[in-house]
Amino acid sequence: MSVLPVITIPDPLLKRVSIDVKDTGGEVRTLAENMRKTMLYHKSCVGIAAVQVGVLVRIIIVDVSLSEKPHRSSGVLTMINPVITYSSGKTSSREGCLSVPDFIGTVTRKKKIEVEYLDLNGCKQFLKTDGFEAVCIQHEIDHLDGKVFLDRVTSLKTDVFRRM
Amino acid sequence: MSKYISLTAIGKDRPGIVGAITKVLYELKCNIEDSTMTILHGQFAMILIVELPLSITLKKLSSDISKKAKRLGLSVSYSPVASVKKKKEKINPYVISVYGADKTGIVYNISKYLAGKKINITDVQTAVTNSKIGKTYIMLIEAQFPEKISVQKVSSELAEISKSLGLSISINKAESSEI
Repeated sequence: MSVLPVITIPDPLLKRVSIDVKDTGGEVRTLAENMRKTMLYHKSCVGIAAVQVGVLVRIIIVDVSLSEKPHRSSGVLTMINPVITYSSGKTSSREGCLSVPDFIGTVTRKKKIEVEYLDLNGCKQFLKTDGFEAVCIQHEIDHLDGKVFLDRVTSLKTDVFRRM
Repeated sequence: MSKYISLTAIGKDRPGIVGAITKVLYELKCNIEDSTMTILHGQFAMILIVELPLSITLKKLSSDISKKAKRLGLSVSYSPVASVKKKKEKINPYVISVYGADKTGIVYNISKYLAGKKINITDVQTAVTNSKIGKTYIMLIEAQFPEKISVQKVSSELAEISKSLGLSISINKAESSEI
């Protein structure tokens, strides 16, 4: 088990669409464990997608309990082939990313989501969540579709002051 | 002579710059109407729109400020502002994100295209991040699009320009969060 190097923009892999996991066997378990180790290695990191460690498969890990600020958390979520089946509302927050070092931007995302995914045993799971955890899951799923948060910035300001 | 002036000051960042400049403004009863202050590559930069009382001349203000500026190593310039517009709603605002390996000409090529389309840039934020594979340039542009323009067409034309420069580009409708 090891901490893997994280790729950063403008690495072209980050623009690619990841492919579905067909078999949740030992290889996937090892990758997921290494992704978790990598996430824990970086302070305040609350999520990671497989592409960030250079593997183009649809696996994400999210754990918002690792955030410095307290947020409602479902604990460690390892999601294989995650699909958002329902979403509603809008929320804007400041996002950062291991693959976009030293930069934070304001992004608008869905407030509530429902996600279907496979767990490490290959069993179908369903999660209904909102707030920061929902934002993180959307951020990581974006990675699987070749998007980083910079592709979704909706405001240059932190919106404390609205400049008109 | 206008009642309003712009004052820009820039110099190596250190404590006391804002305090020194605003002390002079306060003592001369000058009112700061609007301002932006930030650090650019280690240089503290401030731009202020200031209302001068009728009794104070620009010459008086600049001579009082220049004494402090010299001590702080600041370069200061002034210019009259013809009119101060009231704040108004931004029309059709979008945020354009551009990023890729750093090289000269990114800002020029993108802004030249936008100007040709009469897309008005209202804010720009840039950053250079260092990584193992070199420097990455990030530019976020907030701009007002003309009402009748096709955003899809702009998006695909910008994608062409970006491709030739080896950049990634995205356009999103600007939004303000509700606090």
